[in-house]
Order: sequence, then C-alpha cells, then structure tokens
Amino acid sequence: MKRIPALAVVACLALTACGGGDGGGNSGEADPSAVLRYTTSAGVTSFDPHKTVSSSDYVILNYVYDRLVHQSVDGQAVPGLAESWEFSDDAKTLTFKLRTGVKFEDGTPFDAAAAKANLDRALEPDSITAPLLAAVDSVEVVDESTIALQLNAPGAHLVLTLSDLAGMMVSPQAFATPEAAAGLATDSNGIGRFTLTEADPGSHYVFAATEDYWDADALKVAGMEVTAITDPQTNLNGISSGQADCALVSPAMIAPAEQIPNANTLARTVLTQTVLYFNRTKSELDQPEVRRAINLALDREAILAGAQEGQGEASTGLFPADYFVPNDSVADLLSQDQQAAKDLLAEAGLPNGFKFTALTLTIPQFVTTAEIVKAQLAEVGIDMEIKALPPADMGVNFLKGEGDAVITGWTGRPDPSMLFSAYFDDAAPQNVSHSEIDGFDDALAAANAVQDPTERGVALAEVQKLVLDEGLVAPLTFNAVGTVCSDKVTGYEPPVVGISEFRGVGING
Amino acid sequence: MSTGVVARRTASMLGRRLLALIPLLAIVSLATFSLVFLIPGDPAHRIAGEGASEAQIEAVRSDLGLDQPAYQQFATFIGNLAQGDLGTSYTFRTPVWDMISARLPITVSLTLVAMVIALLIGIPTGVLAARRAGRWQDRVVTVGSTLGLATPNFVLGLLLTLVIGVKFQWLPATGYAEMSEGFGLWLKHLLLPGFALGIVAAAEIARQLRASLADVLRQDYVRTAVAKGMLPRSVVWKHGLKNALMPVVTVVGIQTGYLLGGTAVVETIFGIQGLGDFAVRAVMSGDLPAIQGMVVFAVLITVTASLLVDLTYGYLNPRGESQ
Repeated sequence: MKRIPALAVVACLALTACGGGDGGGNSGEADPSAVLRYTTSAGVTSFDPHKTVSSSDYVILNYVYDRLVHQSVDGQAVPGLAESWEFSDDAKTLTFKLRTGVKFEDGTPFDAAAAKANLDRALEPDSITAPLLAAVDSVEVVDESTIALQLNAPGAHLVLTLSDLAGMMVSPQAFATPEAAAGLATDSNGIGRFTLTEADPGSHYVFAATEDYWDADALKVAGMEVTAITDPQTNLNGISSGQADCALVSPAMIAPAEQIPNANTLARTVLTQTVLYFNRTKSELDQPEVRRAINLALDREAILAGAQEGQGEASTGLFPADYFVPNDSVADLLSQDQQAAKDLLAEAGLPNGFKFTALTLTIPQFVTTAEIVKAQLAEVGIDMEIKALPPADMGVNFLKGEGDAVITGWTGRPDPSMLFSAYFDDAAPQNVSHSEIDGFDDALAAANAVQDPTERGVALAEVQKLVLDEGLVAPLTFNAVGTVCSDKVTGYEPPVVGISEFRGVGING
Repeated sequence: MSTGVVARRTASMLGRRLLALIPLLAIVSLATFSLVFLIPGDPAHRIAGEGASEAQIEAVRSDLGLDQPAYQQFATFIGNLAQGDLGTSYTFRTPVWDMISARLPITVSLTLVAMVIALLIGIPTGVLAARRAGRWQDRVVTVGSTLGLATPNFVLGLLLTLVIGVKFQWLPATGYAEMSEGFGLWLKHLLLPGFALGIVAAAEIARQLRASLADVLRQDYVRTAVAKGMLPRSVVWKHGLKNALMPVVTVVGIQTGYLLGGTAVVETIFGIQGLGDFAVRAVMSGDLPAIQGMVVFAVLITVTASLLVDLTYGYLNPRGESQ
C-alpha cells in the first residue's frame, strides 16, 4: 500500500503535524469578504489526488476537491458528493446516491459517469489509491446520479476510505488526455469550496471561494492563503504579530501557543502516532517473544512526557483510548512489566539480552523518543543502537533493509483497516517483513463485513489483538495536534484524524 | 593613463574572467551532478514514495533516465544545463528554473536590503573609527563589529522577531510583501530580516574600512590637503574614502555569497519563501534537481558578484592592473 512517503511524515507528524476540522466552536458573525491566512508545514506535491505520491497532499487538496464521503470531526462518515450510500445484504455491492446540480471548476456537470471515471482512475495500478480500493472489482453506472461498486470482499471500510484521496472527484476533462492529466500536477479541477488561483509550488497557495458552493454552511470566507513554513516557532510568530489567522501546532509547541494573547489554541489527541516497527527478518526480532518483551519493557508515559511535553496520549493500543476500536484486549501487552520482559527474553534463549539497530528521523521529537526507548530497553538488557536519517531517506532505506527496526510516525487514516493493510498485509510494500500472521486476512475481512460502528470496532479490535499478540509493532505515543487561531476566527474544531479542512470556519469582521 | 587603455584593460580582464568561467562551470556541473550518486538512498524510490511497488519504482527510474549509464546521464544533464534547463523538481513536478525565478525577486529584495543596511551601518562607523583611531569611539566600533561578527544571524533573527516583531509589533515578524503592494509595506517586511542578515557584512565593512581609511589618512597627500585648509570632513569623504574603498568593495563582493547562504537561515526564521527557504526544503526532501539547480545558480551569482567587484576595481583604481 502506497502510504506515508517521508514527506508525509514530515508534513503530518513532526514539524507541525496536522489539525483542523469541521465547523462549530466559537460563534460570531463571519465577514464574507475575509480571507483566511493559514500557515502549515508543507506544500502540496501534486494537485492530482489519484496520481500523487504523497498521501499528505490531502491536507491541502481537501480545499479544492470534495470527496464522495466527508468526515465529521469525530471521524464519522457524513455525506459529501454522495448524498447517501448503502450496502447490499451480502455487503458485496456498495451503492452511492450522488448529489445533483453540482459542477466541476470547468463547468462539467458532476454525474454518475464522472464518478465512475474517477473511481476507475483511482483503481489504475499507478494510482496511490489503488491498494486502498483493492476490494473494488468494478464500478457501474446505475443511473445518472447513482453508481454501484461491485466488491470482491466485504467492504465496510470503503466508505471512510472514500473520504480520503480515493474519493476525491476530478473533472473527467482534466484527465481526458495524458497532456491534460499532466497539468493536474500543478492545477486543480474539482468541486470544492475553493479554486486555486495562484501557486508558488511548495510554499504559497492562494484560493478563491467557489460561487454558489453546494454546502453554504461550510464556506464563510472569500478565500484562503496557505503558506508553508518550515520552522514551528515562525508559525506561532505569524499569529502573534497578526501575519496569519491560523497556524498548525505540533505537540511541543502547544504550550507556547497557549501563551499567545488574543488567540485560541485547540488541540486534541489524534490518530497520528509514533511507533517502533520491526523488520521481522532481521536480528533476533524474528522471535515473537522478543518483540513482546520489547513491548513490555517500555514505559510509554515517560516517553510521552519526555518527547512530547506530555501532550497527546501514551499508547494503549494502535488507536487512542476514546476511539471506536477498543484497546481493552491488548492493554496488558503494552503495560510496562520489566520482569515479564526479562522472562520472555530468557524464554527466547536471550537471558543476557541482545543488540539491534533502530533507524529514526533526524527530527527532535523522534530522536528524543529513540533515546528514551534506548534507555528503557537497556534496563532489561537490550542494546538498541540509534541511527538517525533525514526524512527523505529514512523510510526508503528501512524498506531497502537498513536497520532492524524503525522509530517513526504513522499518519492517521480515516479507516482503521487502512492502517492494518498498510503495515501487516504481506502484499503491502510498506510491510518491511513481507509476511503476515495466520488469520490476519480472515479477521480483517470479518471486520470489513460489519457495518455498525460499535460492532465493527469490536471486530477490528480482534485484528489488533492478532497483531499485538505477535508483537509486530510497539505502539509508543499518539500525537496531540492542534491549531492556534486568532480570536477573530470562528467555528474551528480539531478533528480526530488530524487533518485540517476548515469547513465552516469564518473570520469576524 | 588614457581612457582607451583603461577600457582595453577592462575588456581584457573581462575576457579572461569569462574564459575562466568555462572550466569553473564544468567542475561545478560535474560536482552537482555527482550529488545523485553521493547522496545516500535511491532517488527513484524516494520519488515513487515509500509505499511504491518495485514496478512503480522501476517505472520512475526509467522515466527519469536514472537507469542510464552515469556518463549518459551526465551528458543529458549538461545538455539541458546548456539550454538553461535545470530539470524538474522531483517533489513538486515543476521546472526548477520556474521555482527559482518565482523566488528570485524575494531573495534579491532581502539581499539588497541587507546590503544597504550593511553599508549604511558599516561605512559611517568605519569612518568614525578611522577618524578617531585609538580613542573611545574607535574602541566602541571595534567591540561592536566584533559582536556583529560573532553573533550568528539565527540568534539575532530570533531576538529581533520575538522582541520587535512579536512583543512590540513595530514591524512584521514573518512574511513578505511584494513591492507592488506598496514600497513601505515591502520595506517593513524586510527590515528585520535584512538587519539580521546584513549585520555581519556591516561589521566586516566597518573593520576593513577602519583599517584602510586609517592608513590612507596617514598619507602625505591627506596631510597636505589638511595643511592647505581643507576641512577634515571634506578630506575624509572626498579624498580618503575613495582610496580606502578597495577593501570594502572586496568585502561587499565576498559578502554577497555569504548573504545568499545566510538567506537559508534568515528566510526560515522569518517565514519568507525565497531561495534560501527553497534550498532548505530541497535538501530536506532530497529533491536532487532542486538542489543541483540551486548550487548552479548560487555559483553563477557568486561569480557574477566577483566579476562586478573586479569591474569596480577598474573604476576605483584606473591606473592599476585589475586583479
């Protein structure tokens, strides 16, 4: 699965991470002529949602591309360009009723044919979204405003999957020819709250509000100016001195952001997390007892305090405590118990411990995390050598076989199955071990056959238990991500997935 | 010496300099091209994304010609460079030259303001120190210029932005405004970063000018001018300064390269999307064409500055063989 290139890690986890969300919060009369000036950590690598190589492009693409399905701030699926959807009784057909009367930037009407053309393109082998849609066999036009996805496996996960890049709708004219499609790299052509009017690639983007946008409540400004700023402190300075209205805030900057007068900092624990992920073909890490011992040796609260200023959450599973996937069944596997860890090492024939190398990013939060993990593992006799690499190289080198494990960030995904598929499916390119545990496919398919969120959460917890029983990964901490906005900004709420949308956000006159 | 002789000498010097550019650019091109092989990691994998399949990685490698032999890749690189094509950014799929040219006015503005600030501070303080050599004013300038040289521009930049920009809000703490939005607004955004960037150059100019001007002021013709009744201020500014400016011009030339390098830090601190910020992002994302483009461009700027310094020597010292 093609997720989280290094740039995404930088964009969404380390420097300033991601925040934002749907409306709510402060009330006030928004000035319809105001322009929201927002500073973030990275620009967009391509305006082609299906052929980009960076999943973090979603952070900016969501302004110009609506999806079939949108997300509430709590991560629930809500109608987007699809007004409703339903599964067949056998969960093998997913039918979307599309919104009518909306048009793409170039005037092309949005209809079932356009939606099918987009999904067909999203399924092409060179698309970043194709692995996420592996359960889709074909897309059929039922009538002018209805499409049906024929599935080869139960696909409850597809609804939220289509709230991400995969579900973004591009004008079919924009990819009618290869030449036209090439143009999508630098200019958008979708249905969204905004249209791109000016771009300085990688650093500055100007968006103008779409006239007669279908969801008027989601659009309360005349435009947006998005600037990518590398330094987190500079982001805050922009708010302090009035050069920006909102800025992303990383965990380490939440406390300073809260000190800014006449500004509000809204942060929450998001799905973005820091993990110690093992290459099970290397070192002594091929033994499940060893991996479980590492999980038991770690004091995650200490890591949270030391590396994230206490902001966020110490991991009790692969999802935050208040998420719809319960962590109860795996909590014991991640609670520190140094004696149990030593016993497991002895059971694995390593009573005197062993040595392995962990790669990490040359970013303070990750280096600090690695140092703390190293110290904690040393207490049970494990010698972890740290090798820090630049973001552009770290992930690629790990996948090429460098190091035995990696301390890195995993971005939040709209649906939990996306995370499982990305790192634990034997066919996933990011599964560095290229193998999967017994029963994984069946458990995931079973979870994807359940539509009720509560029941599905329980089914996904079974998948999580399989993964953590084998110690395939050591979850460490969840990020707290937020946004600081001047007190003139209204309607902002931070979302659980951790990606800004600014739907319904306005600026008081 | 006749004007014609000076013109011939200048033309000859220019010709030699331009000829010397050829091997220099060849070496720079080879060095920047070699970055592809020196930087660890697989560029094709990096471009395709961490989660790309082997087939996708190979497709990228083939598309970009990274599967060609090194000599063939170098020939393509040189061929493109000769046509002014710096390649296409791996990260943003945009021609590198377009990205550089979009940011060039910003960095030129910043560098210009920094240099003006450096000259406005450096020349008067250098003159003051030279005229009051050995007195307290001289010591104050010496200590001040030492402090200026010793203070890293990121420290000064952070102090300025936090105190003047954030606390007192006298000037913008971040961002850039184009001159088309108003000269005042443009200048306001550049004063703090320009000061942070230019202070080292100011200190260096002050030190060099103090040393050379103090030497000139001890020359016989200066004493003669004073003895003839010229006001000391006129002697310094009309006669002394022109002869003492040669080292200053050298410093200005050298500092142009330093200022360009300094923009990487200053633009990051002040949230300015210029060439320095572009270079930082290119390095962080391993965007090789962007890195190569910036290196080639920076060398051209530095060489041009050096050439301009040589031409200025000719103006200031028409009797001397240009160095």
